[in-house]
Amino acid sequence: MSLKAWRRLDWLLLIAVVVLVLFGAAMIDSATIQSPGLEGYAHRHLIFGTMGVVLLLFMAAFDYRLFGPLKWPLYAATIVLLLVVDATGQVRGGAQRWINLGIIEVQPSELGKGLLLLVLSQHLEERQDRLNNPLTLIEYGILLFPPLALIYAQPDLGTTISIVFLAAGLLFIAGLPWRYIFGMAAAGLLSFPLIWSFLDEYMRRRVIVFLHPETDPQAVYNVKQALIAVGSGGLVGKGYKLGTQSQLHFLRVRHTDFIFPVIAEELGFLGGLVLLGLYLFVLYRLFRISVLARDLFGRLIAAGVALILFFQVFVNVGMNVGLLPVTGIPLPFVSYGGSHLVTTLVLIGLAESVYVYRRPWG
Amino acid sequence: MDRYSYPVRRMFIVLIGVAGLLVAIWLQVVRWQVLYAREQPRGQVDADQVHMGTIVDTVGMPLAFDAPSYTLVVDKRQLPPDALPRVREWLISLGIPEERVQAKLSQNLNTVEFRHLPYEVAQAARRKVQEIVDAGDPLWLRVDTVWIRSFPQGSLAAHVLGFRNWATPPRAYGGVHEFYETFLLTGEGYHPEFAHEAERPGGISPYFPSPYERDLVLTLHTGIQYWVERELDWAVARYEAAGGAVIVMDPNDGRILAMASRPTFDPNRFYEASADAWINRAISEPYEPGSVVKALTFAAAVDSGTITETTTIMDTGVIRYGSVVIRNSQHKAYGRVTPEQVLAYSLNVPTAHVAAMLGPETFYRYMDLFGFARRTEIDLANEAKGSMRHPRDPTWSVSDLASNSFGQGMSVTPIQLIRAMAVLANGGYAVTPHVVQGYEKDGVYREVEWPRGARILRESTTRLLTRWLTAAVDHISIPDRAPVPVAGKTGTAQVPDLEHGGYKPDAQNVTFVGYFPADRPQVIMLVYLKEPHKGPLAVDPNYIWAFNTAYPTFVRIADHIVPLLDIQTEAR
Repeated sequence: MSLKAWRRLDWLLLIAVVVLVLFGAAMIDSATIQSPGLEGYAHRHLIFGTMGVVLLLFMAAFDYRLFGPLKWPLYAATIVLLLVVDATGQVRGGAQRWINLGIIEVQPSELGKGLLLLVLSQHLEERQDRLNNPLTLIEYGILLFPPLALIYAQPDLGTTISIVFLAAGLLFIAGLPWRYIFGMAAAGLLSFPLIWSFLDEYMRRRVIVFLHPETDPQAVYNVKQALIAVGSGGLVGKGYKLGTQSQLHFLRVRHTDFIFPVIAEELGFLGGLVLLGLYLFVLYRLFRISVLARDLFGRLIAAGVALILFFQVFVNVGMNVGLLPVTGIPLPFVSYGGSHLVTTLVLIGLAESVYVYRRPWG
Repeated sequence: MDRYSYPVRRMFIVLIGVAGLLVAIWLQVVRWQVLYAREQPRGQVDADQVHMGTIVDTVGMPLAFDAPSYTLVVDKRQLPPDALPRVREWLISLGIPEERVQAKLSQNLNTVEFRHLPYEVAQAARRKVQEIVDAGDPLWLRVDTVWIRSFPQGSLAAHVLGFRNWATPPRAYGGVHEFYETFLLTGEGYHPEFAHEAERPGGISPYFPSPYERDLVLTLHTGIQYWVERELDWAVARYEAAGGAVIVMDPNDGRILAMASRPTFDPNRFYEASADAWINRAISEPYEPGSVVKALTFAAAVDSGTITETTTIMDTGVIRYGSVVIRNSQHKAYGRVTPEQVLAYSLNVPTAHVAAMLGPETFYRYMDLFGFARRTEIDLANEAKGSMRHPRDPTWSVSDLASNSFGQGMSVTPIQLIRAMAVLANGGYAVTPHVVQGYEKDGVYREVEWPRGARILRESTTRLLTRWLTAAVDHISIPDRAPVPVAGKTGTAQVPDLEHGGYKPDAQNVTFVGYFPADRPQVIMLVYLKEPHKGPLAVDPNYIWAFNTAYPTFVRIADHIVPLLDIQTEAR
């Protein structure tokens, strides 16, 4: 990477992300301090974070437009990846599937999400002058269907919904005419009873469990404890490493999906405010990159990364304050989870690349 | 393309939407923090030291009370750096395990706590504190007393009681502790208008009434509960079940005499169990009940006049509803059969036929009256609702009517099922299942007047059904018999496969609900075993039915209940 590229990097975005990773390591340290068997998780979070930042800079140095012509190979890679998971993956901690690569376990639906973002963005770039044509929409749906079906079969309803959210967001930003947007929304609402009646009994049941988490009594305990932790934090919290809910183990999986209550309890209202402020800042920088991008491909990549991050923050915090059902979605940069952290940082690198190559080199 | 063309405007819309949603969720955090702060009487009292009232069983046997527990606090800042090894030796000499001492002291914290130590250790530590003070050294040791919830009977009735964690302030989870948390902590939230003064059970004991004057007396009978726990353990081990539940209730007023769930836990050491063990399968986990529901289908048919004692039904062995084919479980056709035979042989096809004669409107009217897909409002936390589709639901189809008539395609909790069957036992009334008999408050003991619900069935209907169900139990082809006549129904149900759809090929849930003595029912009991994997026959361990697993367990428990309650029968 030449000196110029360094100068063109969005440093504020990078710094905000690094601060989030460090914040995560500190909170993981607090969340695991009293837990035998969980020593060193904060340390490992930092190691994965460093790895991720190196990859981020590597991605940023690449011209993102190199990925454009690779649309079909990337698409094929996504499908193969998901097929391999469906065939060999292990189910752990809910239904998220993992591939064991020997050294490291990878959660491929995360990686798949990033690849799919590139594929869909490039596709919309190619079709941007034909968004008025209904055929474009149908094509888009056909492109989306196989990966969605594979992820749904894992079964991973959470990721399925996040991809639908991402795909819809990209369509919207690409400039789909309003009449199609309203048309699709209406069609979706009208066809719901039809789809519902075509669903298998067990699928319906899964949707019902998804909508009514109280039918899963195990989840109820953690959400109750999370709410107590969030509530008992007060304005400034009980102090770092002094939260009773977290330190005395009333929260389960508190270094991963339930780390937000640890933050809210120990650092209080202000700590939560700072955290959400940082996320909002990261999202703002990403949307800014999106606005400044040189082409629609870059614009959609940056916006897509923002949408992926936003979905995770929203669902994770929403679950912790009892607004949304419990799903295994982590808090980006902060929750412990090596492959998730690295993948998210690589996505940020992709957005940085859009920024670095925003205009022809002068 | 111009930089601020309309896709960019789109992006502002998205940014505003995203920021708005994040702010909304953050407001929810704030709202919760404000609400919670208002709920907690902070500053008035140290919430850690608010005592919970005592809980005793129906004869005054203590089930839960607050007991002191001791914590040693070592302040490392007050210690000279070279003193740590000596402190370590001293702590080990008190009897605290070496690994625990090592692990705690090596933590990077200023103060180190050793919790839940016995009284003798606390006394020894107090002497040490005196020595330090006398020597004029920096005070590096402190002994704190905290009150923790103690369950003298261990895991007995764990799911009915629930537990209280060790947070600051502690929180109750599950059972009576969560349901009555406010009353047990503050003495508020009771309704004297639905209670009358009564004599305290068990006279005066050191535990009850407690000095805090906010105690609960449960309807539980510890003697019955003991045998229920023991025989359920036996059954889960013997039939290699994944879990199970037993409920013993008085069908006439809904008093719960015993309730157990497997897997179980010790509420004194709740943290050692997985969250799965905390689930009360008797009230929190709906399942497809199977053929027990046939008794209720026939009750509805008799009560509505659709069939009479002398009606006979043609059993063709197979019947088709749309895409669904229904067969008898033995894959046989029996020809013309009486209702008594249908219940005794547990035939699916004639039951579906009777449901069709009733028609969906009448069938579901009765099922609603029996209380399916609705909470029983038992006074225990985390009751589930179960599910049953109605003809008014868009997804309902005629095949649902057929499968619901023998308890498939719907889900119920054991407490719903026993409450529905109790209507047959008590002459036709809905009862409110409950576990609290009365409460102690301000020096007065009051018994709660639990309401008896409306009449659901004619008395003549229940008499006829009881006769049929007694015959059904007599028909069971294994020799186990309770000491008094039992009326009851078995249910062997397929288990839905949530991973792959359809039903699991080699799993079944087994249930037996029965009441006795059949001529004047005093006890109704439900035995539910979740996915037993080993039947009683050595030659064919896959031969698993409710009649050879759940029913023998029922008989084993009934053998103990009959003498304990001194149940007499005129029939023998």
